[in-house]
Amino acid sequence: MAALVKRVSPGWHLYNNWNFTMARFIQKGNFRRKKRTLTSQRVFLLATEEIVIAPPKPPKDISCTKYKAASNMYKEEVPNPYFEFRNKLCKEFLEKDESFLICHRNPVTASAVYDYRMKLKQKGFRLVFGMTNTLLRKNIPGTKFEALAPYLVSHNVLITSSNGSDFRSLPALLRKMPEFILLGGYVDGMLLSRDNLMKYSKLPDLDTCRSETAGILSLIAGGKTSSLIYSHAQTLGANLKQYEKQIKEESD
Amino acid sequence: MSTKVYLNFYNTNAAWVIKSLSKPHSYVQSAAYMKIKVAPNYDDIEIPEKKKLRMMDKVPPPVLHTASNLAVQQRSEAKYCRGPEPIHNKLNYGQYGVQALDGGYLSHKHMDAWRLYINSKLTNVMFAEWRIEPPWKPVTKKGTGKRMGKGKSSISHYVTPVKAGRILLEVGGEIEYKQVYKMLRHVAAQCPFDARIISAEILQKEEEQKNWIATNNLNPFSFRYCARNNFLGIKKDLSPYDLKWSGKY
Repeated sequence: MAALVKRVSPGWHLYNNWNFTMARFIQKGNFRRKKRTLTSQRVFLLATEEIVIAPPKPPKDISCTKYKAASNMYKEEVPNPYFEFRNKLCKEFLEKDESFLICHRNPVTASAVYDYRMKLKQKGFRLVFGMTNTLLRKNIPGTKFEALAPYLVSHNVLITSSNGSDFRSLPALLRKMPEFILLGGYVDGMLLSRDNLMKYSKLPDLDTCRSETAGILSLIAGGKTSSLIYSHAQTLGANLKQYEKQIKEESD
Repeated sequence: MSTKVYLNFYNTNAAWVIKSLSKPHSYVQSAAYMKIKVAPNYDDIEIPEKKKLRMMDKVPPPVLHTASNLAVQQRSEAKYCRGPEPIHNKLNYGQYGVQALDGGYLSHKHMDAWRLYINSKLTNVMFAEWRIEPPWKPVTKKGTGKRMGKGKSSISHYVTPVKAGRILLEVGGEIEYKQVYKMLRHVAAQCPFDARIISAEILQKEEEQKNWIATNNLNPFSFRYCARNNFLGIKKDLSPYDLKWSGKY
């Protein structure tokens, strides 16, 4: 009966709670076990919750020019003499204006790296591991190497020339090194991507280009045009008149 | 004898030289840069004379103003454990400590266990100190099988009440957070309430965050204002402690 009266009476849902029914055997008070919150309390807490727009973190996939400014806003860089020394080396490397290529480095064993290094050394190239992506990304903005930022993302390797050797032979060499994937680089004062590098490698030598131009110039000296120009005055005049008629007919 | 010579020859430098000559180019060792971590500076730290935790009494000294000098029973009042700790919530030595996140009682068993463990782990360049009182609050218990009534029972043991935010222990010296964490995580786990291991940096960051949130809050309806002015008729469902502490304790 009492149970029925309790259920029928108003406020039953408030008292159908273990914490309200237990009045005995609580010696130290119920401040350890949190009470169940009512819907009205939960609504009130949500309405009075603090609304704060936190400062945005710098996104990862932004260009190199904004990366430095954004990362400096949210981080205090503690000066470290070791990193300053390495920064200095990186700046000197970029100021030298030497041509270099960037390759992506897949997982490779140390013995294979040694073999590749020797092959490149035979051809006059040098593998550089010390120039890390973080260092290059810090020192690139504001220089002509800004466009190389998308290549400086994951495990990379730089290839430079120690004797000023030609970079056109490199793509053929790199076919024997499957773990090094060509991405791009800076060659002869030009920023080149992979496709442009392959085209550049197919270009002929300076000597062949010179011989070709000499041949073209020599055609002018000893060819059909020269025979026409140095012919007799009458034949020259008749040929010129005919040429004039042809042009007029084409224009009409 | 011949086999011994063969094995020894392979481990000499001559063998290494011959091996390297068999390759097309000689192997040139390259030096790498060594990353040296700078050691932290501990010149500002003063280590006190008494480095170890002192022993706490099980029973407090007798109360002298009573007639018979006997201990008197007390009520089990929740006011000693309710709400935030207003005074002992900062680090005196500015290094590391254990902070209570909830209220509760600590007995002599807890204190003795922590004292023995921490004193065994302390070194010459470390010190520890209590930030709580020895047990003073009497807790009564009825014997087994006794019925209700017949007055208040006798005192069985003593406890110290602790509020949320109180610092229980402080540890300092020439140590870092990682070393202290290994030592104090057992203390925090054995507490009958939630506890955490803090340093001065953590407390400072939390204060800065709190101040930043308070200044940059865009919600004009704060808990304190709405509760005191009975928005949504919420005073019916709130306790007087919610009005005092804005629903946090």
